[in-house]
Amino acid sequence: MHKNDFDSDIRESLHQYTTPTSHEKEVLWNRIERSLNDEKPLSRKKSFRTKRYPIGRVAFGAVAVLLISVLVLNPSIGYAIIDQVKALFPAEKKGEVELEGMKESTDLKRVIAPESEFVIYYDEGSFKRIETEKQVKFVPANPLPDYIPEVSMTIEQFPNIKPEELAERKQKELLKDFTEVGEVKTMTTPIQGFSLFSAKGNQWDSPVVSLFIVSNERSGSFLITNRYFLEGTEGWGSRLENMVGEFKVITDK
Amino acid sequence: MDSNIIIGICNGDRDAMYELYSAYFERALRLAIAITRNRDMAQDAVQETFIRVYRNMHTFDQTKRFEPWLYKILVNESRRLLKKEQRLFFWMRNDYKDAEHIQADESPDYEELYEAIQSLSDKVRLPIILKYLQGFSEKEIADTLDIPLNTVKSRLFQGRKKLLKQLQDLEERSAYHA
Repeated sequence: MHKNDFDSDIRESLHQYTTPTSHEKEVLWNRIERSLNDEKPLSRKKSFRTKRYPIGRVAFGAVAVLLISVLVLNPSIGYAIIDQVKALFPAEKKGEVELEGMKESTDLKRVIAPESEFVIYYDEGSFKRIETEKQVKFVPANPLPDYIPEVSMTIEQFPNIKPEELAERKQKELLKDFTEVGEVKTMTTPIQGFSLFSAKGNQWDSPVVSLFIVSNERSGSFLITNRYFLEGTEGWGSRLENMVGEFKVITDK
Repeated sequence: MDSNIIIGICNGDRDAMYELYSAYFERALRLAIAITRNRDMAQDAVQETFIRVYRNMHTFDQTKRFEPWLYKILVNESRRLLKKEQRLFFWMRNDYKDAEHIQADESPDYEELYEAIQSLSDKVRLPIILKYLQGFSEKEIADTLDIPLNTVKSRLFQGRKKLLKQLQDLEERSAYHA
């Protein structure tokens, strides 16, 4: 079959079977209008979304890392520095996450973990922090039904394994159990490092493990493991990935 | 998209909203029918999409094109409804063959091709629908589905290849039974 003919046939078949009926436009508009009439009036105070300025965020992060470095190296310096660190990382702040194509405002809460050498903000409306011995773990604030696969983020440090090596090691582990394991990719967003995506099946509830591996700025790595399920990719997956962008390493360099 | 319409909608102007709805209704419903394979579900997706557009127009970045924003909401809403139905284990009746909805002057020859398109996995089916039904560029498909441009190219290639193979198999079977 000629390429252009085939392209034209595909176009034609899709058009033929998706034609709206004559009355559908008005019927649907009436339904939309009824829903809109049930709503509160729109707020006039809201303005158009403004762009973020990554340079500002980078500069802010650099200053913060520097100050926290001082704190880690010189724990005796005292509360003045801690106060400055806290000033740079307010205990709470507003965030934004894109869910199924829509922006949603979130309330973020700070976790400073000098003993684990990182800082992160988490969406306290959606997650709660669980204390474990070697990990920092976040799980949904409201427990999910039993039939929903695990949704969580864990952060672990591997002080003696370089990021490349850890990524390779994790990929091998995932290949034993997961049907779809992607390539290790270099990433610059949401953070600098490596990412690895894997899924176990293609059903709505197939478990997904999404790994982010970041240098600890010394000779080791941080491993951030996001767990969710296929249908939750644009919901829980987005929320968790958004949190990854809030992760910052405390370095002693 | 006319910025006056956008500003009007942000200010709650229902006429501006109807103007926008009229401009995009047909393409939106066609897309939703193709994705969901079900007219009732498609209507729900279109309804919810325009309600979201009305509620969230103030978040739309006017430095960007409106269509990708609208169709991204619609694609996500269609997929969300589709998954919701699958989750509840209700297989909806595929009503695309309902004679009422097929243009009378069209040849029925496209039925096999349409069924072949709809039998593809979503990974390749959605890029095919966006390209051939909506006339999206590969870049627009990538933006709408949040996948890399090269992935779009590869999935379109795979999709066309699979469709051709399916149609060739059908022809061979028909010839055998003739």
